[in-house]
Amino acid sequence: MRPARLGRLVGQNLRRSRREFLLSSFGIAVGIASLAFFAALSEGVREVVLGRIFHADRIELEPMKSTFELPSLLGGGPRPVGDDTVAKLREVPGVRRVTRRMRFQFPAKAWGGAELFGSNRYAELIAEGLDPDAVAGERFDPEPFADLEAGGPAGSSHDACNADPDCRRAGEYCAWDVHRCEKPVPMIISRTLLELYNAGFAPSHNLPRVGDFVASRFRGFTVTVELGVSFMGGPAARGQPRQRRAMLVGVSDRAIPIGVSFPLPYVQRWNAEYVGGAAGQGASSVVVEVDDKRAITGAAAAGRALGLSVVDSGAEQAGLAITFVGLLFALVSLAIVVVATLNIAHTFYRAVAERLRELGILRAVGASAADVRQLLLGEALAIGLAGGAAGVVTARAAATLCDLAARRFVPDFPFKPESFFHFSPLLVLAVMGFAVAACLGGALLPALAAARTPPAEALTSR
Amino acid sequence: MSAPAVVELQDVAKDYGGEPVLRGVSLTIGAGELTALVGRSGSGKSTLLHIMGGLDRAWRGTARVLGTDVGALDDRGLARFRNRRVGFVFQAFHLLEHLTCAENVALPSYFDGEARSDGAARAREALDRVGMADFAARLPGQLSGGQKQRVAIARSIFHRPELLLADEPTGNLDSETGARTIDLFRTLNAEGLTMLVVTHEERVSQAARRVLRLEDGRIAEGTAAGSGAR
Repeated sequence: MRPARLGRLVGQNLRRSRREFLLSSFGIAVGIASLAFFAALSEGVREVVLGRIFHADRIELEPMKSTFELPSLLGGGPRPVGDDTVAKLREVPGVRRVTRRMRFQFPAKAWGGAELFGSNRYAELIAEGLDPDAVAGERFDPEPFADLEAGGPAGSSHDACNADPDCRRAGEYCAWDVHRCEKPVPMIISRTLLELYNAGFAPSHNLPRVGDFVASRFRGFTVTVELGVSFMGGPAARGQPRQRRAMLVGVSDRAIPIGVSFPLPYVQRWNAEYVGGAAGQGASSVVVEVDDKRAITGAAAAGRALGLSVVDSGAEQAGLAITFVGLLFALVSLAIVVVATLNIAHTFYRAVAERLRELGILRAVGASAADVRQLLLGEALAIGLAGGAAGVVTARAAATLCDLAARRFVPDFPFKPESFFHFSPLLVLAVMGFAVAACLGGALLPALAAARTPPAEALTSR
Repeated sequence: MSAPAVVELQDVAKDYGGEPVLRGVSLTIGAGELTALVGRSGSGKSTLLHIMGGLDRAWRGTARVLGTDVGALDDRGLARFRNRRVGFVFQAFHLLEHLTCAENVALPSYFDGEARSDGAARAREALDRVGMADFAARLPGQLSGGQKQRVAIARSIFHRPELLLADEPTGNLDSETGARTIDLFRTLNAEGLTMLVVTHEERVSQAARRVLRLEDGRIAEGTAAGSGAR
């Protein structure tokens, strides 16, 4: 039968049996709506958790910790990641970038924020050194995220404070211990810190939320950092405490999640000054970024071969938890779809029994067994498409309602997304395909049975 | 010289659940004949008609209809044979209630595999031939029994078949309507259409030139002095 004529015949039959058609489509729509809703929820949450909180395209590797490692036993801290290790990791297939990080290994504290909060806030400094290469391509201002003490056009003037006591003309300040003008140390913060501020600190202190736009307005905001001393512990084992000014130059996903990140060379120099020469060498850990997240496994294996272990970020557990919950929801939805499929099969068996004589008439005027099969499967296809489309529309509507309710009634929390759902074209296609497959599956046996019935028998059926 | 054979059956047999219904039927029907097949209820008349029309495949023997060995055709071949070469008229009319008369008549065009789109015009022409052109847009439920049977006849001649097989075509009609239906058959036969009419009604068999009687699963031939035969 020609497709246009098949479509016309299917349309005529569905118009004739509107009630059955709507009931069957409704059954499929309910199953598909729940399947699409939970799949989109799972995808949406996964996108936030693995896309914004954890990053699936990078891992952090640090030297393996061993109880019997000599430097640990002697109190020298873990051995650093050397440049040779970094070079080998860069050669691993699929690796896009390898950047170094270095922890603060001495006490430090910081204060500031009077212009923002009305009075200064004091805190222990949680910070790290971050390879400027890690944020290459990102925009920072008013200063670059780089070692400004290394000289060059953007570097500190190191003029004596006598000539310009406030050092303001060059955007510098007077470092009182060396009595020289220096540029503040560039620092960046992570989006996680911003989210924690917005969801916890800002509401509890009645402060405004800081979005990306507002955060960009705070670029140039400075705090005072005092190296070598702590509010809670004693001073550093060596070196003299001194103050440095640090300036916020931007927000980056590559910054330490909670704390601030300085350019690596500063931290290397400070670790050497306050802990010892070896503490300023190499890196505490390295971040390996890959082109395709499937290459992560290979990068982790290469790291292990070089004596490194993966820093547990919790991403794996979070991903597993989301997958598990998503699967659970999917199973419930599948159960609904299976029930709907059985309903379709039952509907078609009944319809075939009731329409057997009608099918016999079609056979008498020239329909082949294949034509009968195509006709019934065509009707199932129409039910699947209608039910699938209705299911997707219903799921989208339910998702929109949930998002509206969440915006209105759920308090802010870090990384609270605008939408908890992600309806990708692939997901929509997949659930539509599933709806069609379920209907075709449900109608297949009745269609085959109808096609097998001899025309003479079909014509004489009651 | 006798007319060329349109139907040639040789030792056609069929059982239903082990019970023989046809016990080796052999017969020949020539082109242009109007033949009546009579017999008691359950004697296998309809079964024989189904075999000739390619509606049944589970039988034994040889059946050449319109020069085609219908026993050798596969499902697709039989479907094409039913679509293009034979027409059926049934006692219960067998119209699809959700389609208009014109759509019912044009039903064979859905399965003819041709790209032509003049099904509606040809359906109207067929309806015109049976005097039902004014009822093209009506649903079968809006027609009388006689009118339904005329629409069913229009559908059977839609593709201008060479053989018309009618199974108790006047069984559900009153005598006056039945007579008009018989007249229509005679007209179609006069135009050259070969017809086999299964019936148990005297008035129908009287219209036929030849009467075949089915008894105990075998043909016992007799000839009627049908005034309407060619």
